[in-house]
Amino acid sequence: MSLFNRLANLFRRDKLQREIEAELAAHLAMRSEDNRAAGMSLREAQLDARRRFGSLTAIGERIVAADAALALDRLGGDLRYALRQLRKSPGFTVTVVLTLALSIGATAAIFSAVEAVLLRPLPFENPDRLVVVWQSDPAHPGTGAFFNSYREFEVWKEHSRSFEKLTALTWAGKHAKTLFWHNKPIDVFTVPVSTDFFGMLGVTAQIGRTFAPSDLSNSCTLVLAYPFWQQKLGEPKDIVGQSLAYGNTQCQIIGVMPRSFAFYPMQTAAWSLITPQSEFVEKPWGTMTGAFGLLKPGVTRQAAVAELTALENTVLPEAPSELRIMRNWKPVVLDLQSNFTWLAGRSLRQGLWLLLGASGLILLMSTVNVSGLLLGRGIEREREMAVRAALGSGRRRLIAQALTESALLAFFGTSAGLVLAWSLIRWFRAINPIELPPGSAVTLDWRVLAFTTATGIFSAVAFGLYPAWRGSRIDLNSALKSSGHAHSPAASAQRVAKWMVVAQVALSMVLVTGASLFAESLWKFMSTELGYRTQHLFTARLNLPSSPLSDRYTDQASRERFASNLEAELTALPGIKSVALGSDFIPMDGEGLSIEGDAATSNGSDSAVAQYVSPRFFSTMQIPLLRGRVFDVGDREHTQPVVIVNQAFVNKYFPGKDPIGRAIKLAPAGDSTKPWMSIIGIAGDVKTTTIFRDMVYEESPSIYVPLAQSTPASLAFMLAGEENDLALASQIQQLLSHLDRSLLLSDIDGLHEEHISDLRQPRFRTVLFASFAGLALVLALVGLCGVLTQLIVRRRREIGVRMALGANRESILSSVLRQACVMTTAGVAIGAFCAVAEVRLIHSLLYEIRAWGVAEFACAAAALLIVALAAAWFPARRAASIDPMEALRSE
Amino acid sequence: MARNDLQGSLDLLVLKSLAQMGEMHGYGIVLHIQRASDSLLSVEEGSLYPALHRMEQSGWISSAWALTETRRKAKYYKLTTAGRKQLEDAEASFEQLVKGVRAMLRYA
Repeated sequence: MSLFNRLANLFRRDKLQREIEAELAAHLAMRSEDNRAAGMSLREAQLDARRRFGSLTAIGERIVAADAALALDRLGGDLRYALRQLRKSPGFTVTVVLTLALSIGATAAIFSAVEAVLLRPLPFENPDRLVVVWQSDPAHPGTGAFFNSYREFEVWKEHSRSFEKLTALTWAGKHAKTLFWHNKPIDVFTVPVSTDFFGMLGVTAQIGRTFAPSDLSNSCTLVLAYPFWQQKLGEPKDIVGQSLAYGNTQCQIIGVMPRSFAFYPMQTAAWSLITPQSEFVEKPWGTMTGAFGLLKPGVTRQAAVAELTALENTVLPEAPSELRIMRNWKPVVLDLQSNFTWLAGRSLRQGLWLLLGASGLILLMSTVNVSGLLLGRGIEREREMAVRAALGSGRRRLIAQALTESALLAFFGTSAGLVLAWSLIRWFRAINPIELPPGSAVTLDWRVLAFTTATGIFSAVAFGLYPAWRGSRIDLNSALKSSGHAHSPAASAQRVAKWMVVAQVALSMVLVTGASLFAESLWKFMSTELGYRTQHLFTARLNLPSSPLSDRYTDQASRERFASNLEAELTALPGIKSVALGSDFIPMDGEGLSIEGDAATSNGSDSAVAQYVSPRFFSTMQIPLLRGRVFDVGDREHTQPVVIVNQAFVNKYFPGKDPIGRAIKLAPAGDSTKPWMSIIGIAGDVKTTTIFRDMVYEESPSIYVPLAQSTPASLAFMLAGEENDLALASQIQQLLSHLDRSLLLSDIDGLHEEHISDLRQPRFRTVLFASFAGLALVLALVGLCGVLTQLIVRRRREIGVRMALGANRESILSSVLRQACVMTTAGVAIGAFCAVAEVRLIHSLLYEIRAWGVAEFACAAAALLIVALAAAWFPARRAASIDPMEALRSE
Repeated sequence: MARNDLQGSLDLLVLKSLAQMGEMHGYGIVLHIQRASDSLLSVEEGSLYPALHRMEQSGWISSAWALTETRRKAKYYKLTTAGRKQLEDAEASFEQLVKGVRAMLRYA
């Protein structure tokens, strides 16, 4: 009841106030009337009445306190008071809100990416039990490096007891097929899956349905991906039942997946069904697949690996000899979500955590910064606080009031930060700077909101508590008597403020060192000589339809005829300097290898990367020939098989020997289906990136085989042009359609651009880190400048005295600058110490950074010192221009 | 346990005054206490009003604006049922306090 009354009074405060005044006035009036009656003069009567009463306002306040719900009302009052105070010093308010907004906004934005990629479960049923099975390379245990053969999958699926469901899905090999939609060719990236794939994920089609066992009897059934249906086919509503033609086969469309459904690989346009008639079932050893499974509840991944390995070992002896290399591989069972993250970017996980850490440092810095600013403001307002304390404000009230101010600042900062985060997220989604795993759209959802709010509250408490606590411990006497010199309690606050600057410099040191290490390693990585031409070089890929439409490209001779014809026609195009054909330039897997007369390699467990290239490959790519000769037109299908190897190959297999004239075979020595090929030349090494890690180059042993002796169905051509003219693409497409209307150019790219796009993640990381470092520098600058200014205000009198005693301006200037240098140097030293730990943390993301990056440390330290001196210059000038007379008089 | 403090005794004085005199305004209460105690007790006028308002919030007394004999508007307070109950409690606990203090003083 009484609480209700008090609450109700909150809303009628004005009326209440008037009533209280009226009541007290009546009291006073009655008292003075009585006084008059007792014979006092009017003035005496009134004075006496007032005197008996004490301070009217104070009593009014006490009455209100008795009336209103105290805490709530006070909060309102504190808020109004704080707002008034903040409005009085807009510079301070804007600085604080901006500082908080930048750091909270950046942290929230990065957290939203962390949340989307690493924390939010995949949008499928039972995401915690979804796993993927790959084969791992003995050199990289635990990493999914290779696909499984379909045979292994079959055995697992039939006998394994670890899985509720085990399904196949693969993008091994070339799945960009040219299909015909109403007689028009379109490239369709088709991903074969087994029947229960969609069922395992618990997803259903938006239109039509997904695969069912009854579809196994059809030769080709397709489920479309939403973007393909929408963008390439034009969103036909009656899509179910229509078909895409593949040669003479009609691929029936049975459904379209919802827009929200995405799975690896990202460019999937359609899923096809693996049927008993498909090559998977017919050639189970030669076709490769990923195995995606749903573990039974309670089954661990280790248990599953053990079972799969045992099962696999029962069938591996059946493997054809050229696939013996698979015996070295071991199955690994990986959590689907983390594998998706790995597929999206080798260092995506580490990079995201690192960026979150960096933004956390920024948040910490800005908290310290704001705390310092509040402290400085507290020192300036010491007298006001002292007066209020003297007038009877309790310590708790003063703390509450100071904290209200902090909370208000944090509220504004967090709100502005959210707006910033929202725009950063929109920007991120618009420019799409890095690849993210499927199903991990970065959004500002409730988790991000909760995180941001928590961050805001944390920062308010962190930056507000110390200044508030300090502000409440004022020694009234000294604060009121002096306007402050070294003996006042403010001195201790200043020591803390100085340490805050040191902390900020240290944190910036960590960030600046990190940024410069990233930047330098990226620059080194990008400017590394790769061993081939990177400028004005384009590659394009082309699939020769190996099936139905015509039997044109089924045998080696026809493929070779087509290839040489194409090369001639392309060379004739204007603006093209040189053309070469080959298999895809940067191949992903190796083949078996044996060397004549070398027993160690004869069992086929070695492998090497073979590329099929036309004679002009080396001149077009500008890969130097170190010895011997390149291929020429004389190297044809029925002449002596020849091969060119690179220096790395020679170093590995012929150390200190002359390989020219020796023979190698891309199969175990006993395999008579493959010919011995004679080595005719040694080419320079080419640096390639690896699939296992970011920011590493490999110079792997490679073998070049003449295209004329072995033409693959998937061709790449390399064009050295005059300039970066991608209009070439349309010319080339015209030429292709002219040669064969079913041929589609799948993509054309500058090789350099392609190489750069591999660097999207490191680049994004570097840019963000650099922005953080820049922000850190600005914060440190603001912090240092603010603290120095306060110190000078406090030292005004001392400086006045010194100047009056003959100190010149230069010495004052240098004393301030020296102070800045001392704080900065301390910060740099502490920061360098932490940066050593940081280097350890990020070392795997760096390229060719050795010896702890001494140069980068020095650069970062120098940058910080320069910034610090620049920041100190203005307060120092101000100190030096103090007028001693005025400073002394103002005391 | 009853509150054995001075605030408690001010409450007691106010409640008792209202019980004896019926409706009264603040100034009247001050005068009444002074008169009834033979000027031994004088209420600090500043403390009276916060106490009145607190007791009103607690539901022990109720108030209404009315005219005085000199035709001045003043706020009149009177006891509520809860207030009577509170007065009994307060009187009992004050007796305890007085007994206790007396016992202390006589102890030798």
